Amino acid sequence: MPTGPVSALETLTRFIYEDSYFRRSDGTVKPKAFYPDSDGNCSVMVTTSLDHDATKGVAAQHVIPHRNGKNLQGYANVQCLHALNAELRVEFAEPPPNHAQVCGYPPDREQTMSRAQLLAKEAVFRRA
Amino acid sequence: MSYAVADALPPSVPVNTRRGASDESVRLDQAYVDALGPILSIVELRSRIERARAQFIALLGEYASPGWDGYDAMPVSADAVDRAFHFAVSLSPALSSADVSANAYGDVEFEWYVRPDKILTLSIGPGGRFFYAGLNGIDRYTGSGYIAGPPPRLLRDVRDVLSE
Repeated sequence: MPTGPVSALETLTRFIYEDSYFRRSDGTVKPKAFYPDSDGNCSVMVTTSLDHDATKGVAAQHVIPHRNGKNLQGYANVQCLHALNAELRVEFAEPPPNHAQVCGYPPDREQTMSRAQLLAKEAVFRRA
Repeated sequence: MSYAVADALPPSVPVNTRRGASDESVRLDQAYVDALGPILSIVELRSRIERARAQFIALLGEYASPGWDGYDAMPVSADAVDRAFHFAVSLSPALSSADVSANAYGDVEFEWYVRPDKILTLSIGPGGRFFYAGLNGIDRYTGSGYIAGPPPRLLRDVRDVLSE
């Protein structure tokens, strides 16, 4: 079970269940998809080298059952390096396997929003 | 679901054409346009406000449940919606192209978006507390405060982001 920081070269996946979290117009993810949850961290999965079907499989196995019936709309992949460049940290937080948390968001909301914009700028969105 | 704040174009009056009419007829047409123009503008403005009001009220239904985003988003608050609505209708038509939805904080979120590195996001919460962040190439903007009419610095930053 890996612990500690996630390597800069790993791919992070943020699963998205809410259709206002992405733009249909150009298929990009909105920054608010990367806002922290109520615990102050943003829950992601490490999915390096997984293809589309395998990534959806991760969601089906480990994530969707805990989402109160919400349907998976898609997911945003971003390299861990971009989180580090935004002055955030990424730490493994298992179980489930390969679960991690983007942490270190600043206490000021506007600064948190700014960090999320930096992540969204580099993220690649895929419809489920 | 998210919405545009309102129609991007300002109200307008159809352009009159001569079509071979006499000068007197043209002057009469123009007099009608001059007289009715302001009334039509008011009617269109009221219509725009009513459409916006309906869209903002709809936010309360769509984002009412805790965890509406599949994580642990807070329900959007009625006060935030009310404050955001009044802010939205105070915007000039040039800035009314924002996408409006809710965010996980339970605030109403406005997004002025050109592309991922040209974007400004404004979050309006209960009591009119607002936070915003913008990205314009390598430039970053942030701010916070209380809504009491459109804050000048915020509007300047929105214009910067929207300009090419």
